[in-house]
Amino acid sequence: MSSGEGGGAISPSIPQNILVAGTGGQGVISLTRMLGEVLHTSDSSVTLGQLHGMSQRGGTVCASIRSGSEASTHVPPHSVELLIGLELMETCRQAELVAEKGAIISLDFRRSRSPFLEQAQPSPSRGALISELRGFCPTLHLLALPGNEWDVVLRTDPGMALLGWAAGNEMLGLSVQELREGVSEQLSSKRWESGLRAFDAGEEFLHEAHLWENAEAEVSE
Amino acid sequence: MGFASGYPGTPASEIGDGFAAIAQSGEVVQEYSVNEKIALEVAHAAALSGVRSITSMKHLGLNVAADPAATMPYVGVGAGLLIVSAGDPGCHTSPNEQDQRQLAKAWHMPCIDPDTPQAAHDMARDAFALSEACNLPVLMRVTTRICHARAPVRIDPPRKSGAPADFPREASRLCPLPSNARRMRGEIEGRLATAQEWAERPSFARTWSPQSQTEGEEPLLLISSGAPAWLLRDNLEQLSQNRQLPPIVLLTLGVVHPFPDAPVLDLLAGSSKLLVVEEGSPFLEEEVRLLAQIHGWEGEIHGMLDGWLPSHGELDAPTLVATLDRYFSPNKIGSEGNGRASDPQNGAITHNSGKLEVPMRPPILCAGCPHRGSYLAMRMILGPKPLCFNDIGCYTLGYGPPFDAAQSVLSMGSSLSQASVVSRLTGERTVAFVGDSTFYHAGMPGLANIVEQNDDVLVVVLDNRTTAMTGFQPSPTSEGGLSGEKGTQDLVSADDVMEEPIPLVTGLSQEQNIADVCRALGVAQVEVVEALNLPAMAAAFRNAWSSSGPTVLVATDPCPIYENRMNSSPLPLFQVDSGRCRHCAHSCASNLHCGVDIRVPYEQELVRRRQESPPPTEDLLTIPDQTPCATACPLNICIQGYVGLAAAGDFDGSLATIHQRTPFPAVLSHVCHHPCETVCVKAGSADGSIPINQIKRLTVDSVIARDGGLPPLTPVDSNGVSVAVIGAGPAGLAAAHDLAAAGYRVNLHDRDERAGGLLAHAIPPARLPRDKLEMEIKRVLDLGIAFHGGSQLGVDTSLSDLLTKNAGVILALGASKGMVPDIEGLPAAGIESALELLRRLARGEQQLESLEGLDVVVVGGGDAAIDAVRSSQLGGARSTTLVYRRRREDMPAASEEIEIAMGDGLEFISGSIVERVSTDADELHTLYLADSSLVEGTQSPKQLQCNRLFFAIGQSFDLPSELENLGLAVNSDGSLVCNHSDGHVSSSSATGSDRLFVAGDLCGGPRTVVEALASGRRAAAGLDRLLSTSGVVDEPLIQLDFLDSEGPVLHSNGSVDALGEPDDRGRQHSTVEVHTPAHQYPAELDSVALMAAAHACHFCSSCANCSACLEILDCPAIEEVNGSAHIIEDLCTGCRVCADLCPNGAIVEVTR
Repeated sequence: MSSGEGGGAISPSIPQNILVAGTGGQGVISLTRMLGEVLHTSDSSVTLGQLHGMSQRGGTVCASIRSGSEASTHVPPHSVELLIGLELMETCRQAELVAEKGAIISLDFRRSRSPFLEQAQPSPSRGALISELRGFCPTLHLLALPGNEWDVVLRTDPGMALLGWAAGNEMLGLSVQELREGVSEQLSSKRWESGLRAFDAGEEFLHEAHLWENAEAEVSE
Repeated sequence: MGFASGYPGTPASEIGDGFAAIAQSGEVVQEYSVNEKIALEVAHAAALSGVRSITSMKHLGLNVAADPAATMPYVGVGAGLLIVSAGDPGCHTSPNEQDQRQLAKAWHMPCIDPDTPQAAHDMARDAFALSEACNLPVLMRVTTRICHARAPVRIDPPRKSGAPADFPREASRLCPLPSNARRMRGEIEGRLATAQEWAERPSFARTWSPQSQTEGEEPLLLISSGAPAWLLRDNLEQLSQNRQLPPIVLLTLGVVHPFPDAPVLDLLAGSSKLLVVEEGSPFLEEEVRLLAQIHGWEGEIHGMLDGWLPSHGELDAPTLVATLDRYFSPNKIGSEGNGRASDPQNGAITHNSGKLEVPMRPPILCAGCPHRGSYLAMRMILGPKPLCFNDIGCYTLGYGPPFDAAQSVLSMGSSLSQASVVSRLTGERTVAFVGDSTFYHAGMPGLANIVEQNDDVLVVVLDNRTTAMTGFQPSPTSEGGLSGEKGTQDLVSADDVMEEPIPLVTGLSQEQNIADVCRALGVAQVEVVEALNLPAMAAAFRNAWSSSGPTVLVATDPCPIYENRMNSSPLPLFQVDSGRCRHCAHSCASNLHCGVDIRVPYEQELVRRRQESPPPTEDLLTIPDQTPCATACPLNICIQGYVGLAAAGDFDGSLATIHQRTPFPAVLSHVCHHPCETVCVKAGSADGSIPINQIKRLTVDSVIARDGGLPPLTPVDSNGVSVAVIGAGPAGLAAAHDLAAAGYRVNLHDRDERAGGLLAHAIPPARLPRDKLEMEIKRVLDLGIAFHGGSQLGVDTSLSDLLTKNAGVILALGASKGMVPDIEGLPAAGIESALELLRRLARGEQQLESLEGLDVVVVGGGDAAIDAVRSSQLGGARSTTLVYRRRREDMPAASEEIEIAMGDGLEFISGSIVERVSTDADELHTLYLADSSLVEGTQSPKQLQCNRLFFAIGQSFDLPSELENLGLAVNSDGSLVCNHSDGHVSSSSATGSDRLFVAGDLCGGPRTVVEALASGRRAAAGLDRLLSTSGVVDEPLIQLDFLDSEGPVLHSNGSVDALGEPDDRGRQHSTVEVHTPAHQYPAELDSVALMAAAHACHFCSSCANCSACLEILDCPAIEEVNGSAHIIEDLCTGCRVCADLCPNGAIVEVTR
């Protein structure tokens, strides 16, 4: 199992603050809702927060899962124990909120922006984003999109693959089986098969450590 | 409760969606109303009928409903009425962050402000009882942080509504006529007093303290409500886990109006310090300060009014924690404590305060959005100028580039009002965009006003059959309409309609509704068109824009995101054929990319042409690699490029495109014989060919008018290799330019003191303005060229010497000697070649006035003949006569020139030649004419008398004898035998002559200016290649693959094909017997007409620099990969707009 640089031990308990970041259309809200519902079975004080609306149209989307009797939908700075990112730049945008001993798992994927926006302010390079993420959080895991069967799975439902990987790494305070069962109950019939396949694929990445190592080796680019 | 209504609007949309799901069970009656006013009125009527009712809307919707809302407290309610209005502090998804609490107070309406999802549930339940107890509607103010929270909520078992609906027949209670209204107003005070009793109950006014705090000290007081109270408790809990907090008592108010005086006074009695935590406005703080003043409480009150909390924006955790720190430890804060709170993030997701600046990622129109088709068609047909007013909905995303479809957005329906009056006041036709749901919501009154005022407005209704922005709620044009029953979602999942939309019951398509309504409102011209059918959309815009007065386009196509989620069948898929993307047959130095920085307007032009004037085959895949015009151009200038850029208003880009092929755009714009226009595909149309050369001149003149001249050319570092060019005419200057631009040290020799050759010394200034010529010559010489004026080959220098001193030599000597026939009576004074006359006039050695009062005869049919005629006419000649051996229509001179001369009195004698001349003592010449036998039935006069006779029958070379001595082979026309592809002199025994090239006339007989320029470039490239292969330079510096050959052959029918033999080429143009045939343009260009003509260019071939799909479509499914467009399969919805748009025909449908 790859643990990423820093190797900070992930608490086996349910994280108090989880953040999911991505772009509109990637399924951020859906993933958050699903995970929140599953975690709710173990912690009745779970609160989900989301900002959407116009953000759904390809824009920045972020959602939170917090637990605590008075947990509001505002995520305090440096409080996030697990940041799940579906897009590298969006992951970086939220990285400031990650706690000192928190962890970031993110797809090693960048979604292009409008040429007009790029002209006004170019997007940082992949290497710059990864360096920045490391500056915020040493425990950084990047999930690359290899060009094989995983490719299809991860493209179809990358959020589920991240959940599978996080579950396998005991990052969510639930066993893989608990999380898989919980997720399978939440998935709609349309997404059920592809979602679980992606979840399993993510979990199986635990045994494909070289892919992670390769992804991390490129950080120095 | 039994009735629910509402109008969607973030963050309130999910409330209506939830009731829509509940309504499936029949427990409540639910409707999505046409607007919020109606939603409130129907809910109120239901309440009056004894049915507990709820209506929901966003904060802005409450303004729409303000009219009935302000009067409802007067008439009261029957059963409970709850108005839920969701605010948006921080403007997450709204244009303002108004505080509805202020409205409740103004309207005498109780207002509850829940702080958690559970409180929202509990208070909603209690609000019905409160409403009934005080006989007032109750306003529930929630905000984004409450609405978009998802948390466990203990839900009470549903309670059925009471008695059946029965509307009370109590007109005096329900009709606030003035006499009744005055009474009703008084009654409100008593009702509010009842409401205040409720507000003061512990279930609404709750005290709370953190789990860990010190005891015994005077507590620090806090008052809050709504989401800030939740945030406050959250942070106090966290702070208490990390440090010892002072004693704290927080009073959370559930009802904020009427203000719960009693619990607040009780709180104040226990301490002398209070911090009021709220957002939006200092609503609570003002109430508390008033209360404290009335009751003489003299403690400290902090909040918004003294700057402890920000006056605007959403209250966030960092801001709150900083304020609490200040409140808890005033001494620790020190001087900072006197400052004002910094602005919160105002809702923008702008985290990341590391070293890296992460740029914003705002939302854009979804892939396949039909609005994209509408906006694209609008801009490519209407251009950038028309003012576009936009409205509230997905289509607001038309704001900014590339569509720039929103010069103003204000409120629901405002686009029509704004477009209306702006059109009336400015006199300009304007565009108003409005969505289908918004059209019914607030657009119809605006349209009625436009019709009433007969305003010059094009209204575009963007009908995607749903209210997409807020989560796909139905609109009146949805299948099934607003009344369509909602589907199978349960309440639990209904808040995520973006992921799982509520399916609608299918019904009859009602897309014609909007059109019918528009017609009924009096709009005469209404057209319904499919938004994603780009050609149809473009045609519709063209048609609608050409009209005047109120016009409506209904652009209808369903939202593909919603359709995709409801439909499991695979969507079409398009991909980019990389072989056609960004391809151009102008293979130039930059290898498929011409380097001109083309911009969006040009690409819009490209796309517009495709829609307006598809290629003749109508098959984009058969778009030719090159346009006929560029193929016919001896310089192979990208004519569609510079014409298109000019049409787009980008004259700099247009000039840069011409500059890629020649440094003489200004000269050419006056003297080019424009073979491009002959082969223009529009040549046979009613409008005729595009006036390409005049557009070139418009480009040049526009830049000169703006900058005072053309931009200087950029010198390059010298490579230290010397070359010589003999002859500073157009061919020599072109060769010198290319060599200098490649880094060669160029020695340019000419027998005249000034460079220019026949450009300067033969073409009348009236045709070629000298300021432009001198400007362009100077630009070339300023590249570092050493010009040796007055250096005549064979006299002042020798070819042998030049070949010794230079790595190579280009001979660019023109055919400068005008021919005079060897006939009886010649030579004689006053009789000479037209070229001599023109040369003296050009040099100023003779004035035009010298021809005043003379009878002038010119022999010939080319442009030199006409130049001589026109010069004589301009000089005041008494008569001008032109003798030509063929018919007038056979004259190679430009027909418009002939027309001008004929208009000034030119007499034309065709089919005749001058056989003999006699001259008397007064230099009066008698010409004896004979039939040429080339024109049947000629009845020419046998004699003519004149004072001056000019022959324009051809030119010959005046070469130094050294050339013949060197053994160079000479053609019958006097030109040198050479390789016509580059002018290389291949057969010579002279030392060094293998490094000799020829250009211009010497390379194949007299040519035109543009051909001379091309010839000069070819010779320069040939010399450069020779020097690279011989090791003088490392590699060729001049890339002119397009000039490797002589260029295309023009057929008599105007078609163009591959190259002919060089000799054919020579003969082809041997009929052009003078130096520079060209049109005589009017002094002032008709720029409007020329721009219109430029807009009519077909753009017949592909474009290598096109990024239209990326830059003017702005589709999230298309990205740039390795310099080419790439379609992201997962995002493509198969709308086909990109395929219809692609000027290169490179986007094709494939199997998914």
